[in-house]
Amino acid sequence: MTLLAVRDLGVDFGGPPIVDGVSFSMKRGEIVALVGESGSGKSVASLALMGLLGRGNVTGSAILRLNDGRETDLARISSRERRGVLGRHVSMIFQDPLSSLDPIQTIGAQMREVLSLHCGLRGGKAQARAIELLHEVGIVDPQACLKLIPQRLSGGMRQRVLIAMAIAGEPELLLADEPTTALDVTVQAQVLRLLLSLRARSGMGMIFITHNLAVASSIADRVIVLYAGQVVEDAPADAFFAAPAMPYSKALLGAAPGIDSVFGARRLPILRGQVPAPGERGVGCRFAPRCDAMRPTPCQTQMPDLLNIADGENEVHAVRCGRWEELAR
Amino acid sequence: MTAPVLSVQGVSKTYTQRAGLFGRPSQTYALRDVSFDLRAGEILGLVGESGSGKTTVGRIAMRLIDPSEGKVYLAGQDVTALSSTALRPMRRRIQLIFQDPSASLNPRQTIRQILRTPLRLRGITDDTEIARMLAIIGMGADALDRTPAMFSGGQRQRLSIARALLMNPDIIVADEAVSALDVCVQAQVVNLLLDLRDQFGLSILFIGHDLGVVGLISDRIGVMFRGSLVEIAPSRGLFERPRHPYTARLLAAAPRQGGKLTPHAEVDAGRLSPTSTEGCAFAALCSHAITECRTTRPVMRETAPDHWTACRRADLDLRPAHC
Repeated sequence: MTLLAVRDLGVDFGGPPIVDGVSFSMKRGEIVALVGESGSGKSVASLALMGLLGRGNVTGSAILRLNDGRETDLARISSRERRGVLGRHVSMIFQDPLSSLDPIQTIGAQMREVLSLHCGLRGGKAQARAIELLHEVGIVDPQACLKLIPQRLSGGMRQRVLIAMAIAGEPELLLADEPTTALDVTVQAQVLRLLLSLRARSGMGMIFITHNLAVASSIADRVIVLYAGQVVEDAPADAFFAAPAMPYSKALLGAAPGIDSVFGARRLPILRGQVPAPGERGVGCRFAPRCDAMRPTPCQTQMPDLLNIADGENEVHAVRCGRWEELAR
Repeated sequence: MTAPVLSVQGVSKTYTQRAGLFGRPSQTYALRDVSFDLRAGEILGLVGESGSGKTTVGRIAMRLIDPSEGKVYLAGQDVTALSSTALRPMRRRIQLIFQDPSASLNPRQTIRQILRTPLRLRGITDDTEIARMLAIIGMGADALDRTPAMFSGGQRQRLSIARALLMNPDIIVADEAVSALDVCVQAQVVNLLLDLRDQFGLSILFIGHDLGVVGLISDRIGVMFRGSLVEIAPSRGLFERPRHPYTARLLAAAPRQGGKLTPHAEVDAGRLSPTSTEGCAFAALCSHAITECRTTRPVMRETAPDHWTACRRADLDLRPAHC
């Protein structure tokens, strides 16, 4: 069952597109990692889905199928409708929990506001539900936690509180933008495990935005790689890590030293150049100027399509590379 | 063997805290009895989570802050008690690279002005060394008349490395110097630091939290936990056969490409309990702790050649499960 179908999503701010024809779909309960370097468009794409861009032109569609069968297009939803969807059906957590929380209100006050807005709970019922939610995200002493201001909590606990607020409305889709990037590795592992267990319990789907492929591997069912505003590879996580098809994906994987593979090689493989700015893209493949496998034709002359190269039916392993077949051999 | 270029011996840093206005003052340890040597031409990694004291170690090594106890030696000379005037000629020898190059390069100065400052401090007036240094970091002379804002994050970090190198230092302290960079750019800067070490025989104290990066760049790695150095060993030995339970936990928590986590709701133990002043700092979280661990501070012991650990449980086999 499809939860979200994004078709040809584009975002521009009056100039060349920052997000350019992004299409993907995800199933109910699926965790999709959106990965890419800075400037790849991953955060802009997700903010567009949430209607949080503020300005900018959004084109294309992003159809969200709700549990009750209703459909809503996140790309062209009115701000009034959005109020009914955000927090209840779709919610979001960010990298820095401290800047998402009000520093002078207690956790209790902030949670009660969320519960009143999204669930219509007030008074003792809101209090009880807040305690239940904090318990669910693994906070040992929820009662005490509710009385604290955010500053009194550790980074991991703050992120847990935000997750508790995000799941208060039992959303079908959670957008998580680098939610563990600011956390220490041991805390990161705890938060990732928490997200996995919440998914297992509630069947909530998740778009997990990260620049860290090892983190993506830890949590995701699918990996979608963005480069210069486009999807360049979209694959099941197992297939992606076993045999990435797009040269850019391979370069990204090679550039991040894993802790199992750091010895022997005394240098890291280098990907030269940088992501082209939106105004500096050529007509061909946007990765071509940096690609070791580049051939003048077709790479520089023609923008490759995003092709599905999966063997099985109903499977998706899409890649945007004019030479993927030769390179796979 | 020659004297280590930098030696930190028994360094502690304490802060006095008072519970309320009339409360009794109590000592909080930011660092507790930390000792290590940085050898000539070596890259020594320091890892640990936030609050473990790794940055404080770097600052004390540079004498930017003073230790409460212990000594710092630069090339065999005790610099712990030197006045700031007496310290000046020594400062050149040890340079710092920060995490955020956009905050450490003056946005109003051109690259030429920025790179001339270290030369001026050394009394050099001509620019030939600047051109040579730009070539080393892989940039052209056209960079000179631009301001930092016109460069990408990776280029800016290379420029701040160039500025540090123009002081002609023996030691570089790189505090999370690649953490803010994208992976591909991070790889370039890591390789550059390795090249510089090989070319100039620099010694580098590389402070980081990404175990993969620290493991690749470092010859040896020190692991810090709540102000204590709990293990220090050659990188490969540390990764393949950690001897301290905290190191093992850190390695197990590091995400891996191709690895998967299982859902499991762990509880957050909440705010950190104050570090026990008596026993091992890790004892409260350690599944291998015995009574002695909670009552007596462990001492560093050598468990394999050059492999030191502050864990008294010599009987543990902490080899990571995935190996």
